[in-house]
Amino acid sequence: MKKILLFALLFPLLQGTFGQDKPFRSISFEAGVDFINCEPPDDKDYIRADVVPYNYYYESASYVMALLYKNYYGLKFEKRILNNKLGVVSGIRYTRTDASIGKDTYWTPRTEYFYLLSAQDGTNTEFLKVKSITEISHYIGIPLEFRIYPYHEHKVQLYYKIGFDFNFLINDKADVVFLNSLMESHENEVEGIIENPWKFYATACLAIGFKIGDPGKPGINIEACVPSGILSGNRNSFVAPTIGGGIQLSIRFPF
Amino acid sequence: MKNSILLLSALCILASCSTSEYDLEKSVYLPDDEFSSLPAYTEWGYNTFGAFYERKVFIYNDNEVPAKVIHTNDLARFVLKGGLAPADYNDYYYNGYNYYTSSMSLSFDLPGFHPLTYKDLVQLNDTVIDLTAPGLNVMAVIGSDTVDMDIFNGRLQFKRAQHLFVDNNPVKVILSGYFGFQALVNGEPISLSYGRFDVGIDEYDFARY
Repeated sequence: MKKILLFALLFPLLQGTFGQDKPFRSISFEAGVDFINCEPPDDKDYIRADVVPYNYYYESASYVMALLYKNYYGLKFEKRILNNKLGVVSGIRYTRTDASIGKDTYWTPRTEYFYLLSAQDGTNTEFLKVKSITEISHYIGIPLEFRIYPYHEHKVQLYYKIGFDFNFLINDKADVVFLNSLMESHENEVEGIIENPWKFYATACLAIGFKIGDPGKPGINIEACVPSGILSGNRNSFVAPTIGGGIQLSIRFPF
Repeated sequence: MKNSILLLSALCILASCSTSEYDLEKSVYLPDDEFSSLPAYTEWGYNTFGAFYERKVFIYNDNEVPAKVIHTNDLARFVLKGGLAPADYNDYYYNGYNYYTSSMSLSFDLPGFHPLTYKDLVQLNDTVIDLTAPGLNVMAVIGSDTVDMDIFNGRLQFKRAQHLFVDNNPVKVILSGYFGFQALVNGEPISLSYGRFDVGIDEYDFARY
């Protein structure tokens, strides 16, 4: 069965190598968002977290949870090879990641908070009531994508994508929301307590996309990226991403 | 728009996450690495305690205040209150439920210690009390039975006592430590072993009268 599927996918590519059309080239402006699920942040010695002893699916969630959200913008070039059946895409990409830890208030207005250990000195221990901590990081990166166009050119053309990007940290900042706004003077203190963002990370994703527009004319591409994952090589990070997905939109100008 | 996208995505991704309240009064159970029936030793004010009482487990529950300090008749007592559970109970399903065979409390005399307020409990920091000292009583109430423990070996250790400040306001004193002893009960030796506690005492858990 796998061989049949592989053949069905590759047949149009192989077929294309025997007839050479003029290769397409294009430049695109892209924008996208990804949401990456994260492990419950129950291993942090600075959060008074509530956990349960066993790892059943409904029990493993800490009441404090983590989420990684990123959005990106970039400029990409695509060159089609193998008789326009394979597109190789690269360029430059700016990414902002928002790694956040908070109680389950992402979709509710409740004023829930958790306790963050801010100082411990002799017989004094100090907690801060924190609603959320968001580590905002800015990266510059290089995307590398391979698009497979198994079908003939149409106004709306389906394609598949394997995508990667390689990102380098350029700046970061922590945004702490305290329950008591008078505690905002402790923000730098909290920034010193939480883990630093990744200096480098890479992502990998699979996607299905639609290339919309007449061949050889400006158009748009819409892609659904599922799954999408992050490789950081750093176990001691503010959030521990697992897997997620996202969407990407790009405006294409052939040349 | 950004919020809407965030909302929809978070609903999908985080659908399995539960919602619940918790605060400093709630017990937070972290299992001990070696004895998973017992809470791990912590110093966070997790409002937990546990010990093996012979082949059962003396452990906190969510219905009783786990610890109080009572000062009356010129004598202070440290009281742990919870239940007596089978040692092979399922940790998770036990935690927070009433799968006890009976309720149990344990009271330690603290002779020579005279706190005026709960804040004075921090004086117990790094204190070890020999439970065999003359005039020091340890008393258990199991179900409706009061049991005088005639201790011949054992100690109570307040490893750490801390003022807990939240948003710069003092709210509790956290007492963390270990306890264990051997005693004669009705002429028969019993043991209470591997005991540990991590409890927060505030003005309502401290009584002086």
